[in-house]
Amino acid sequence: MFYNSVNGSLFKGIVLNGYNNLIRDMAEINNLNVFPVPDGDTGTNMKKTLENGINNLTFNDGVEEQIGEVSDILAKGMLLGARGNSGVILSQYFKGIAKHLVNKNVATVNDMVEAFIEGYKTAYNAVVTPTEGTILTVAREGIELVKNQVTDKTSFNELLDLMYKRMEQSLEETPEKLFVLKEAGVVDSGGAGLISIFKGMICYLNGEKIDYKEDKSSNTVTFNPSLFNADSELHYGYCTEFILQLLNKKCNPSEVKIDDFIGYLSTIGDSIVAIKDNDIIKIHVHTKTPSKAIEFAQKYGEFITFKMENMAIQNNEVNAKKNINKVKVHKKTAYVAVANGDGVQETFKELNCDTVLNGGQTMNTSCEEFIEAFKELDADNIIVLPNNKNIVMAANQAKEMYKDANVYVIPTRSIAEGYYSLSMMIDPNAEIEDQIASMSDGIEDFITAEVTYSIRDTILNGLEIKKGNYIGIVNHSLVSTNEDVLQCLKDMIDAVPDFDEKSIVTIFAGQSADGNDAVELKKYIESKNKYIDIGIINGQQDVYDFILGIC
Amino acid sequence: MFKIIADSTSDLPLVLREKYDIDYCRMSITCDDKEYVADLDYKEYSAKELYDWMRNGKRVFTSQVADNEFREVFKKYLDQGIDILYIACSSALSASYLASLKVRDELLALYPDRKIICIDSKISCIGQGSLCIEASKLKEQGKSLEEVAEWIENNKLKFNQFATVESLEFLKRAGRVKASKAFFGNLFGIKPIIISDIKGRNFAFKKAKGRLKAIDELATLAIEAMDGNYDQVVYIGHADSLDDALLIKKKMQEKQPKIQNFEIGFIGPIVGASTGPGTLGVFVFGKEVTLDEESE
Repeated sequence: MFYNSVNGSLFKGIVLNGYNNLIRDMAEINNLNVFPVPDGDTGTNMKKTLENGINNLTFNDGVEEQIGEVSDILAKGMLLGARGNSGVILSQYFKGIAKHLVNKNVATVNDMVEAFIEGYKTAYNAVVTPTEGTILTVAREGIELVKNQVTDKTSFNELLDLMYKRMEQSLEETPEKLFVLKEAGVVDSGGAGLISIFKGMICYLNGEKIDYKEDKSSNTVTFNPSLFNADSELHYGYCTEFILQLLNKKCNPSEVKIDDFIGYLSTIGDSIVAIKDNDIIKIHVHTKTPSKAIEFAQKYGEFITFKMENMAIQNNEVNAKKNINKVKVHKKTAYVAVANGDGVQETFKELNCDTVLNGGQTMNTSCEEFIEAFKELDADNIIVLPNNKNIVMAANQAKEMYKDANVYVIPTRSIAEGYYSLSMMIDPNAEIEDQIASMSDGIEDFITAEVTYSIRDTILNGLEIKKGNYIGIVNHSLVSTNEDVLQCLKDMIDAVPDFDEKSIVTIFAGQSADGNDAVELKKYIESKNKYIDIGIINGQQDVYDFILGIC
Repeated sequence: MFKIIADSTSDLPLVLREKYDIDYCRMSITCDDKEYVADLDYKEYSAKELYDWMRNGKRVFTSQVADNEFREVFKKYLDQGIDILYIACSSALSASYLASLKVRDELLALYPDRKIICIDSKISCIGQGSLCIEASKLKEQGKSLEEVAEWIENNKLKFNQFATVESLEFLKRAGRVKASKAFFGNLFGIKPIIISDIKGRNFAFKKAKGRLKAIDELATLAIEAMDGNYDQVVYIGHADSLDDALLIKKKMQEKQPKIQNFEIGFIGPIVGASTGPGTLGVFVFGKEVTLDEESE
């Protein structure tokens, strides 16, 4: 079909298809090496650069529709991920495109012509001594030598076709412009990469989606020892991937539920991708404790392949991203919560929380800490979500003292309540009254159930408790105790009033929790209530092995 | 004479297509590198199989109606001297409508005496299907192609969708939902209520606490949107969750005993692939449901 304008989702679509085509051509582009050794990496570098931009986009999928916004997000990601000469040039090219499209909802074909021009100019400017016969030439001639053929009637498809044909010609001519290429008998690899992307974009317009299968086995991981050394700490864990053959000896392969894998892996890591194909299970997870994943998987079968990589190798880019997020932006409403546990804090941030203060039972957040946190924000309204009763008071006091924003305290008394409140938000920028209403809706009926261990022998609520045994607490009153944590959890669930009328249970697994117990607990809850939705979060909170939010 | 033609997102089962004399253009789906026809009668795979693929974590990709499919289906009727009324999946969700315009122009040049009208239904699923059914009823009454097309254009926004999904993951991946940032992230149990907005987009505008409350909400919203027309057929589509579809029916009848006619069916492969197993939708005709957010 023919497009006369380009909106954000079309732009996203063509770029993604371009990226997929680049992957398809990657090996070939890598081989366009002036040196006759197989160490060419132009294709890989360009792919990685574009990939970083695409990943930025995927994260925002469904939210942005405007081309200005989409191209900007893409370019920012690419600038961060840029590697290798051609990668840097490619990222600058897209930066220029984004610069021209800024604030546009949709771009006309003429806008796109101007954007491509701005693109190559930005790329030229970024290079200290621009060399002709490279990707720069291909990018420049690709638009400069066809722009006069563009009329008001030219469709976007036609524009890209014109550019593609011209670029191919420019690429053929690169050995004439650059002697080293002629000597090696190759064309410029960066230019070939750019053309490959354009090819993919054109395919998209013609309705041909490019599906790729990246051959990961041929990827050699370049290990940079400076990123992880004797003084390092394991912050990011391991990217762990495996294919598991389910074994009849160990389980009934057709009965194995992928949900159980997801449930367990949720307690030890994140970024989970889990696929079941008959008697094969494929897993991808980021975890600091891959041994637990191995142990769990071996209960069901044996590995066909297993791959593990320390993610610290990639952490440069992660750090850079974090710094960018720190820029103060004015907001209508900002959200401040109190929570402990890395996983809980991360989850809160994902749910639009601006600041998560570390605190809780053993370390109550002070009024001053709240005020310090407020000062860091630039917002008309601030909504505060404490995580216990004592903190509610400090938050209210801070509210009275702070004058630079309207502060609202939703009296959440546990991280589970805080999570619930954040998850009921409809729109982070909603009118403040509506926001408070939707975030506190139903909170009075919300139940927090927690399991921890007793620090002494005692009798409470008629229960005889031994030191070191587990105790189950429902809304601050003790309801169960057992030396076995799972039994204690089950008894606690049995003590929840009207449990069969509840809809949702969110399980936060603490630092000392065993994921197997979380999976068993999930099964127990499902057996008691068919309609309940159960989610497991690797909360990593201290003190409480498990915190459950029930509503 | 004219033929009403839908496409794979209309989710019209064979019985309804035969009863109302409706044909459809096939889209296609891809799973594990294998392409299948998005067939509403599930000949190559069963609906259950399709949703089990997805439950097991496999990804299913969808493709719009190919130009050639349009050509073949349209020509079949044009050759017999029959005109075409194509009622397409919302253009906000599929590029099929736009593609059909190109084929329309191409075929009109070949068949200068014939007429082809393509309509962007601004909705999908059995909501699109029920538009086709209404069109067919009007045709039966003897209305002309133009008259029917005009009626559909003027009334299409009165066909409402109220849907919920098991997990937002599928919609997010497929990029076929408009929602504020607050619908993304690790949300457990919170179910979005999704309508088809004026632009024909799936718009998540509300959150319900859990599946049961979402089902209850769908029933309430649907009854309200019926605007007193209780003798119509209420269409309920489900992605392999018949029990829940029956529960919506029960709830609607409890809330409004005057509603008697229900048609329950599977959500087809295209809609299902972008919404995921467990999706539930109620489709009713009544007042135009608009939202404040639409002023954006």
